Amino acid sequence: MWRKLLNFFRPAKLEAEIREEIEFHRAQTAGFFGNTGLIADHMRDASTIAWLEICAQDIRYGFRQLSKSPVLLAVAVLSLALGIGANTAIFTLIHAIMLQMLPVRDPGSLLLLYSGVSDGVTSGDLIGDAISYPFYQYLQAHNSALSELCAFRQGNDDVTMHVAGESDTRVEYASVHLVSANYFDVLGVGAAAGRVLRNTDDTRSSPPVAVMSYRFWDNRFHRDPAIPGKTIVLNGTPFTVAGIAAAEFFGERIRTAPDFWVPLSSEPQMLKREPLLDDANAFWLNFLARLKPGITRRAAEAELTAELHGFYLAQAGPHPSADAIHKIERVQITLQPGGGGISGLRYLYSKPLRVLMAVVALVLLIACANIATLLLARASARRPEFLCRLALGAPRIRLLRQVLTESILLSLLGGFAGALFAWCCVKTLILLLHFDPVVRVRPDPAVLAFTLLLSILTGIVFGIIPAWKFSRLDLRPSNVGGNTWRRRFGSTQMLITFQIALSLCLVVSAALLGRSLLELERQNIGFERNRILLVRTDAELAGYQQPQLADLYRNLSDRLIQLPGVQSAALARFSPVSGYSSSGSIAIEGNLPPPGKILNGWFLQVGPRFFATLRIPLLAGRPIDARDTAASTPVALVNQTFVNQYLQHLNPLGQHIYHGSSARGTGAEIVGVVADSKFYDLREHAEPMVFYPMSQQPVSGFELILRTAADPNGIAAEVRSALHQMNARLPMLEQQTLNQQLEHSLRQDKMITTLSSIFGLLALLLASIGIYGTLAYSAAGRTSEIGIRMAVGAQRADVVLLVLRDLVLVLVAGLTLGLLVAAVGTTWLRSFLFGVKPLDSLALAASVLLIAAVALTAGYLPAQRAARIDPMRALRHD
Amino acid sequence: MPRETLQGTLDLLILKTLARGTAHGYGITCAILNASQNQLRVEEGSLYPALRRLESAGLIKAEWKASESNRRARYYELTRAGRKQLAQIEKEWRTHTAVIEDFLAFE
Repeated sequence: MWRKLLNFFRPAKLEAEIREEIEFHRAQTAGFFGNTGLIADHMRDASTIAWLEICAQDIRYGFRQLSKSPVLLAVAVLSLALGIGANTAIFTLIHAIMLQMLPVRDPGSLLLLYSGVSDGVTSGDLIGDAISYPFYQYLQAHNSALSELCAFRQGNDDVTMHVAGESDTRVEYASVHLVSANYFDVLGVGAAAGRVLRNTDDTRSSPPVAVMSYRFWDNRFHRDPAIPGKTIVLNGTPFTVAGIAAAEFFGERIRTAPDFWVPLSSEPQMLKREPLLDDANAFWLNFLARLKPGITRRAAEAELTAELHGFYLAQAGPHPSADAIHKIERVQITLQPGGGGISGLRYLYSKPLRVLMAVVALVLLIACANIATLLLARASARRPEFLCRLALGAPRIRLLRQVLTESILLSLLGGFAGALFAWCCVKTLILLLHFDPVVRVRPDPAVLAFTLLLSILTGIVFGIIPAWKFSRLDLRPSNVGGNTWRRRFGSTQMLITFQIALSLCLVVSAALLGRSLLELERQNIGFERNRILLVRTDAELAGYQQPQLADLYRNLSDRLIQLPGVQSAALARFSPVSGYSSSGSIAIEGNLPPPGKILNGWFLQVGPRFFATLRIPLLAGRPIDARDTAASTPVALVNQTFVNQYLQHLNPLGQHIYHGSSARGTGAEIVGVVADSKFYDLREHAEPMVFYPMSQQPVSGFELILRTAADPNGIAAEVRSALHQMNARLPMLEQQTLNQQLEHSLRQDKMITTLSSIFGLLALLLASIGIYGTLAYSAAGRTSEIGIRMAVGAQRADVVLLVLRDLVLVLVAGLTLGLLVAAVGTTWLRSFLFGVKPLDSLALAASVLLIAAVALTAGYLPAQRAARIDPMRALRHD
Repeated sequence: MPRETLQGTLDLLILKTLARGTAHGYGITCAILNASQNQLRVEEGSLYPALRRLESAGLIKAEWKASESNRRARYYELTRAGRKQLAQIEKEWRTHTAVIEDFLAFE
C-alpha cells in the first residue's frame, strides 16, 4: 500500500523503471515483446492506486480545462470569493457577538438568574430583573438546586482613584464592579498576579481589598509587579490590591470592562449613599449560577421561585394584604444561558446582524447562480467534446466525475479566495461598526470550516446540475451540436431570472434604507446642531454636597460664558440626543387624568440660557433664568407637544405640574412654552417634555453646552482649565461636539445603510457578471447561426437585437418576480425605516431602472461583439 | 497446457521460481520454460503486471542489479510474507489436484 502511494507521488520514476525493465527484456529476446504500451499500462495500474490516479488525472485535466477559459475561471472564482467572503465576514462577527463564550470555566453551564413577572413585564414597584442582597444570602444558605451562585451589581460605578501616598491633587477616575467574594471562584477565573477575591473578603469587618483588571494594570501601571499588595484609595477609602485578574477576563458584561472588582461589602463606600446591603426591597444585584448535577433548569426555576415567594412573604409581616401576596406571587425566577455574558452589544446589533446575514445569504445565492449558469453554458460549449468521449466509450460515471471534480476545484479556489477576502472584510466591518476592542475578532477555526463547507457544498450542488444534464446526453445525431439558448426558458434562463429578482430585492432594500437615512438627517431636529461643544462632568465625584450645587451651577455658568470664543453657554442634565432620558408620570392641576389613565412626561433639568444656546424657539412666556433659585417659586417650561396633548383648551401659562399621579405637594408653575425638538434620539416622535430649572432640582452629573464662534473643539482646553480653576477635582468625563453626538446616534443606521448598499451593489455586480458570461457563451455557441443570418442580409443591429431579445424576456420576468418578493420582503425592514414607506415608489422605480440599465449593458457587450463577427469566418466555424 | 489453467497458477509459478533464488523478469520466463520442459510459456503481458502486483502486495521485493550481460536489470526476490503465501498456495494446489484426481479416478 505504501509503495503504491509512493509510486503515486513519483509517476515519472515509475514510468522510467517500467521502460527500463521492458527494454531489458527486449534486449534479451532480440526485440521480441508483446504490446509494449498495453503491458506498461497494466504494470502501472498494478503499481499504483487506480482511483487516486484517475482522480489526479481528473484534477490535472480540470486545471487544464479551467485555465483554457480564463474568463470563466475569473468570473466564477470572483463570484464565489465575494459571496463566500461576505458570508464569512458576517458569520465571524455574529460568532464574535452572538455566540462567543466568556473566557471562564465551563461557560456552557453558567446560568443567569432573572426575576420578573410571569407575563414578561417587570412589575415596577416590587421586583425588576435584579435581586436584593438579603435574598442572595438566603439563597446561598437555603437552595438545593444550585451548586454555585454568585452575585454582582448591575453595571459598573465610577469612583475617584489615587495611589496611597501619592498626591491626590490630580484626581483620576476608575470604574469599579461590585461582586460577591465567590465571583471569581464560580467563574473559575484566576489571577495574573497576586490573588483574586476569596470568601473572607466579603464580610463587613474584613479589610477592604480590590482586584485590578489586567487592562487597567497594563494601561495605567504598565504592569508594575509591585502593584499587588499596594494600597489604592477608591472614593476616599483605602483598598489593598489583592491581585490582577487573568488577562483575558473582562467581567460578565461584554464591552464594559471594569478597572476594579471589589466585594459587595464595600458597597457603602463605593456608592456613597444609604447602604443597600440590608434592604430586602433594594433590587440591585444580578446572579450567575450553575445547577447541581441531575437537576433540570425547569425544576430549578420552580424551586427558586418557591424560595423567592417564601422569603418575601416572610418579609411582608404576619398578615400581608391580599394585594401584597398577589404582587409577590406574580414574580417568577427564570434561568437563562449565561455563558455568553451580558451584552448590550448583542442586544443592539442582533437585529441588524440578522438582517445582514439574510442579505449576504442572498448575495451568496446570486454568486452560486452565477456559477451554475456559467457551468451550464460551459456544458453546452463542451457538448461536442463530451459526445466524442461518450462515443469513444468513456463510462458515463467518469464524465460525471470529471464535471464534479471541476466544479469542486472551482469552488475550493473560490472558497480560498473568499477566506482571504473575508479577513479584509471583517476589518472593514469592525471599522464601520466602531467596535470596542473588548470584542476580539480573530481567525476562528469554526468560521474557516464554515467557509470551506459552504464552498464545497456549492461546488457539489452546482456540479450536479450540468453533470446530470450530461448523463442524459443522447448520441443520436439530432442532438449533436446544440446550444444553451435554444430552449426559450430553460434552467439557465430561470437562474438568471432568479438572480435579477434577488438583486432587485437587495437594491430596493438599500435604496429604502438610504432614503430613510437621508430623512433622518434632513428632518427638523428642533435645535441648531453646528458649533456646539458638549462636556460632561460630575460634581459628586468632586465631593460636592447637594446644597452646594446651586452655587456651582451659577459660578460655572458665569465663568463659561466669559471664555473667549464662547457665544453662549448653558448647563443641562442631558444634552440633546445623548441617549439618556428620564420620564415619569405627572399630574396637572385642574386637568386630572380619568381614573386608570396616566399622564406621562419626559423631564429635563436645565440651567439659564439653555434654549438660547441651542436656539430652541420660545413660543410663549419666559425661559429659565437667574430669577429661578432654590428659594423662588418652583417653575417649569413645557414643549408644544405637551400643550397639545395635555393642555388643549387651556392657557398653559400659570398651570401647575406635579410629579406622580396626583396633584399633591408643591407643583411647578408653567412659565413658558418652547417648540418641539429631539431629545432622546433622532427617531423619536415628539414627546411631552417638561423642563425644570437645575437650581430647583439639582443633579450631580450634568453637561456643559457651549456655542462657539469657531471650531468647538478649539476651546476644549480652555473649558478644561476653567473647570480646573473652579475645582481641581471636577472631572471632564466626556467631551464631544453636538454634531459628533448626532453622528453617533445614527451610526447603526449608517452601518446598515452602508453595508446594504455595498451588498446591493455586490449583488448587481455579480448578476451582471453572470449575464455577461452567459450571453458571451451563448453568442459564441451561435456563431454559425449568426454567420448565416449575416450572410443572408441581417444587419449588425439585427444581430444585437437577436442576442438581446432573450435577455429582455428574462429581465422582465426577473423584475416582475423581484417586485413581488420585494413587496413582501421589505415590510420586514419597517422597523429600520424612518419617514419612508416600505413600498416607496421612488425607491422601487429607481431600483428597477438601475437593474434594467445594468443588465442591458452587461448583455449589450457580448451582443455587440457577436455582431462584429465576420460572416465568412463564422460559416467556417465548427 | 491450455492458457486458462495457467492464468490462475501464474502467481504460484512465479513464487516457486523465486523460491529457488532471485531472478529478473526474463530469467523467470526462462526458468519456468525450462522447469516445465518447454510446456509452460509465460507471456510478458501477464508476467510483468503480475510481478508488479505481487510486489505491491509485499510478497516479493525488487532491486536493480547488474545482470550477466552487465546491463542493469530488475531482480526479484521472495519476501518472508511471500514465502508463507507460497507454502499456502502450494498446499491448496496439492489438495485441489488430489481432489480432482480422486474425482476423475472414481468410476
